[in-house]
Amino acid sequence: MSAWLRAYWAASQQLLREPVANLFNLLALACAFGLALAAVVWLGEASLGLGDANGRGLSAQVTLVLRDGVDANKRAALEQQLQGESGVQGVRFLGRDAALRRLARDLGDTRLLEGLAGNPLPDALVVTLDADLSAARVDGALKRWQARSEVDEVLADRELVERLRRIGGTLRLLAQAVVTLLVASGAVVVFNTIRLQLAGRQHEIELIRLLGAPAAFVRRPFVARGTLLALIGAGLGWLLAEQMVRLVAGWLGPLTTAWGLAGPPSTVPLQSGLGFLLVALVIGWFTAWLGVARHLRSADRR
Amino acid sequence: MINLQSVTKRYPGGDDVLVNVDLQIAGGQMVVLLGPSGAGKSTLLKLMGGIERASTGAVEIFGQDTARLDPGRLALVRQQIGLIFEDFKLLADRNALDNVLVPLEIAGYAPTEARRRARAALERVGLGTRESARPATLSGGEQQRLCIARAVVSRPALILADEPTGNLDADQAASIADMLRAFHAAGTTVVVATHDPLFRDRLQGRALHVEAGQVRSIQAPPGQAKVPR
Repeated sequence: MSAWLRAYWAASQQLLREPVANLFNLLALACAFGLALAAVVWLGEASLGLGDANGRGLSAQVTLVLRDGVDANKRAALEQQLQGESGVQGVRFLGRDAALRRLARDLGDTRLLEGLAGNPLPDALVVTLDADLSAARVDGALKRWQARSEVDEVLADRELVERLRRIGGTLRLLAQAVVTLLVASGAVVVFNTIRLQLAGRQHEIELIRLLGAPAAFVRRPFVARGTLLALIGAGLGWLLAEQMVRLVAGWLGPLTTAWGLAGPPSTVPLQSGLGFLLVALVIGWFTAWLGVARHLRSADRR
Repeated sequence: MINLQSVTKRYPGGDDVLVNVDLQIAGGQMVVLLGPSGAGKSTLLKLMGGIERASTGAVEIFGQDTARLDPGRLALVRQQIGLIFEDFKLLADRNALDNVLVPLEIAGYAPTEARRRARAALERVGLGTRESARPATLSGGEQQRLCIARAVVSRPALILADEPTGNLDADQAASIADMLRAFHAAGTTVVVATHDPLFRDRLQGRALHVEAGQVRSIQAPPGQAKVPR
């Protein structure tokens, strides 16, 4: 264990001895890991209310238009029944008079409505569905409600919702591909740095192997350097991701609020940041290990 | 200590460097391998050091067949051997003390103990006052003494020296010979490859002649191969 501690100490000293070269490596790693972390945070929060690939995370409102003649008791019973159904977040009664007032307010010009003989609008129940309700369950509920005698018509923006879900799914897939590419590019940076280090210390490696160093001894300083590089890069990436997440939240926050959608996250959750450091640690360790193993194999062949 | 049985060594795409060599070296011996350049002395030393593997035949070091050892065990065997090179093979970016520390780091010594031993080894070869010096600032003789300090710092049972005086003048060569004799007198087995008969005379060890892939005892009548023991 102390040998590993010494190796990490030596690796940190070496990073400080070559600040310029390491700065560029660290910046490249911070960009790759930071962008990936930000993307993971946005994906994890099902940002912009678009939902995930399974269509979850997208809340929808359904309007049940009631038939004429449905009295207050029947309506109250239906309201209570709907409220008790799983997947229903809330039920709100929208009376015909209130609906007309809202229409007048939305139109901003009441002259058209003043010409009407009476209120043509029906009573309605506005049902808000759970955000994590699957598309299949939404469809089932719509069919069930349409079949009820009190309900004249069920109005749901199914097409729009489905379209948004598809867009959300595609965006999520694209984001996952980008995250994978960014993490892979981080791994390539570590791998190349270690490869250059190995090439620069070839003479030393040959000598210590002649003197009886086992492969683990040869690997140790490079693995320490790789993990340290990845860890510092990921730490800087975390800071970068935090700034990006805050910036995007500032830009999109008002927009998503106006649309009634869940806004993007405003900070990188601690768990995500720590998880990402762990991923970077594993990537740094593995790519450095791989680089040295490859170098030793080719040296043995020579 | 070292036992070569019917050893042939052939490098890929080349001729046989050693052919059917039998050789035994007992513990505590001083052995000098003589012969012209390209005769196979260095290859013989590399086989004895577990650096090269025999194409055919068996090489035993400290009673262990090197062909049967996995890389980890072979590395442990190598740690018991001190190597001295003609070109010194010192690490240019480390000072004298750090160069001598390398075998001790490999062997896993604690830093304090390692430094104590490394300083003692430097004292022994007369470089006690030069521990902070980089190899490039040392003379050829000092560099070879540094190489010797590195070879003996972990108190190996066997020292293999390949043309240790190849780059040195007569006085420096005499000093190196005295050092090797001192290590031999302390019980270490020493095998030296050289093409310099004067150096051989100074070492006063068992002399073997290596030529055309064969190893013959110097005392053998010309043309008559004798298995050296």
